Amino acid sequence: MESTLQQIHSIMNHQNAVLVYSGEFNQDIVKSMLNYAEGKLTATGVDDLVKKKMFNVMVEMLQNITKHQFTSDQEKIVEPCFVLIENEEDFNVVTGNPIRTDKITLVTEKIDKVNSLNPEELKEFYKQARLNSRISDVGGAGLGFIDMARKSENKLEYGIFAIDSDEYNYFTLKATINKLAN
Amino acid sequence: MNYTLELQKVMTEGNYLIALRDNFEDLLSRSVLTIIERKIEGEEIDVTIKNKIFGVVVECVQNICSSEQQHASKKDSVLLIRRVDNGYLVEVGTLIHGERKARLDGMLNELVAMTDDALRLNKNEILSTRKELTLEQRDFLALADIRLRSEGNMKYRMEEHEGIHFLVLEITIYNN
Repeated sequence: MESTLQQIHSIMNHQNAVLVYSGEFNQDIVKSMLNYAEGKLTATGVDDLVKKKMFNVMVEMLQNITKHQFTSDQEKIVEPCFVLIENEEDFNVVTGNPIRTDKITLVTEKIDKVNSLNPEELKEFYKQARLNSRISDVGGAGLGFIDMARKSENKLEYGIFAIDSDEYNYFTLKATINKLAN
Repeated sequence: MNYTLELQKVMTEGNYLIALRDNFEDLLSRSVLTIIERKIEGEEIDVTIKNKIFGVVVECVQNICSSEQQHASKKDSVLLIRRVDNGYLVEVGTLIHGERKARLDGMLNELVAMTDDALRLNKNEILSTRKELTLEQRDFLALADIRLRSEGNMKYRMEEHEGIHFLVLEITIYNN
């Protein structure tokens, strides 16, 4: 029988994952993840511009996961997860967290909208969304997704997976950052 | 992307805190320790135990995982830390070539059978030499240190997949 170490190693190998963290996210954890990524990027020798992009995307995604790690009753039916992937030509930042079933359409529509825009349109959409979020003060305009797409300069990928809950699913989000600066 | 959920499940079920797959270059080992420190500092854990965990992780990432220079471009090692009853388990797996496998096979058998005093004596003997340490001596020092810090709670096994050898160490640090 395959040991847990083998199972984890095999998934990590297959996906080119270099870091997997599952558990509570707080500011200290976020900071140490960013430090790790910084060390990783320095060791890889990527351009400063790529480092900056990666850092910005990670901040946005880690903030996102910190905010959405609990379900509405502050319980944890499923742990959030953070995965850092290093491929030959790019890095992937992947997060997973619970999502209320009735929020899925709202969230996926926002991502689909962001993915449908070109960089210029995205810039304009960002301005508009900032203005709207200031007026409504809810920050629900999908600013985070727009920011991630703008900073990563790639389409966002997402997945929705069933978990053992009637009210929640598991939402995964992936941002890709190219190793070569555009 | 269901691997994210899959990883999350395996990690949660096994009480794993973190999984890293790398070659653990110098720069990264410091970050690895910071993440582990942040992760366990919220838990009521004696400073002696914390230091033992750190000591073991340092030996693992700096000497067990990264001494295979010919594989430096690959990410051939994996480090996992999990909570177990009354302690923590550090699991490390690293790819080793045939020559090192032969060397470690014998050494690990011997080392596991040694008393703590004998281990310390051997360690001191190696450390007192003025010559540059051989690869064998480096391996011995790292493994002896891990065994001493874990108070003998170090298990090992060799795995082989398609001609590739993988050394797995399981080190448990118990809360006294």
